[in-house]
Amino acid sequence: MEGFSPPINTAQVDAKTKLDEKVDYSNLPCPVLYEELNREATMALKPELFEGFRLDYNKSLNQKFFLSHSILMGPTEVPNPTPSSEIIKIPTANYDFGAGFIDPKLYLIGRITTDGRLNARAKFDLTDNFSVKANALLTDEEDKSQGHLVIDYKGSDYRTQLQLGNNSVYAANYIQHVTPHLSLGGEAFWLGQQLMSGVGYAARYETDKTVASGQIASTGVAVMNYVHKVSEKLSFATDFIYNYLSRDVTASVGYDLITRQSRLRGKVDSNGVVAAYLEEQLPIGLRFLLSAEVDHVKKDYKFGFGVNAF
Amino acid sequence: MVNNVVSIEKMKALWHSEVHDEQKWAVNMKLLRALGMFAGGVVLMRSYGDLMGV
Repeated sequence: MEGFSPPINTAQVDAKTKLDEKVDYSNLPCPVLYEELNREATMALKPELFEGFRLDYNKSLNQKFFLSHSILMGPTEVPNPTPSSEIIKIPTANYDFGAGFIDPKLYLIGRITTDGRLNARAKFDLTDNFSVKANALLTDEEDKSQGHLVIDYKGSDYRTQLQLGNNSVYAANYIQHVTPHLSLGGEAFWLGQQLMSGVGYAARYETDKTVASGQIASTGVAVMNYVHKVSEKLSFATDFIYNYLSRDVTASVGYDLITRQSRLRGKVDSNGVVAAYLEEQLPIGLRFLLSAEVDHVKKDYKFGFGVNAF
Repeated sequence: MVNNVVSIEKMKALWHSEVHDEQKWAVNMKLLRALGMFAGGVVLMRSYGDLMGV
């Protein structure tokens, strides 16, 4: 009995310890990328839903080179020429061929599709803190090709980026950790072709169990989301996206459940859309995919199944 | 007094137009529903998220 201290002493000690905690402002962590503020919510609420049949085959040639083949067969929605609310779909099929080189400091990835698009991405780490990324999309449609260059600098407790794109697109952003859990950021952009400039602000608060973030921009877009991590296997997420100019608004609530062999994500949103996406790892080295998205308001029902082979 | 009356009347007119104008009400209802879903989701997760764990 002598060896045990009474609970009240324990509580007092804990309280005192907590009161004595101080923030070391010279040793704040490094924040996530400005464009990845919402990454937890995006991972849970925006899986790669598809309709029809999908096959992805990735082949490693050696430690750094790989090839990929993708087939997607299924209906594709086309614009309805009549002012009816009905949806028109036509069957289509696409084949993508991709090649990639991945090195700790450099990666190069290219994909070409049978509908005439070439997608290329590159990233080069000049130093541990300084990297350059480039993206390009070439199409056979007039004026639809794009190019993009991003310069990224990572400090001890801040990150900053400069972006340049074709059609006179310029953007810059900066994000800074201000307490161990809270980071704040801002961005500015100029869209030359549309003669539009804007600013945006963002905040992100994260602990071991929760992540909350919000963004707002002078283009009239506001985004908020919240993720609650119940355990290593299960997270719940909700987000809210509002566009003041078009008055579009959507809120979603969903979950992300990861087990040893599978991952299941589902959501329901305020526009009446219910979606689920299941990935199951089979012992023979295949990943089996099931995708479902049901839009009750538009009566648009999409179901897909697919296979990933490695 | 006059200012108060005027501002109260303005508020009444604003409320009336936002609620009784069919087009505005449709947009506002959509926004309220989305906000409610977001707030409800956050409250549910914080209150019962751990209980819903598998």
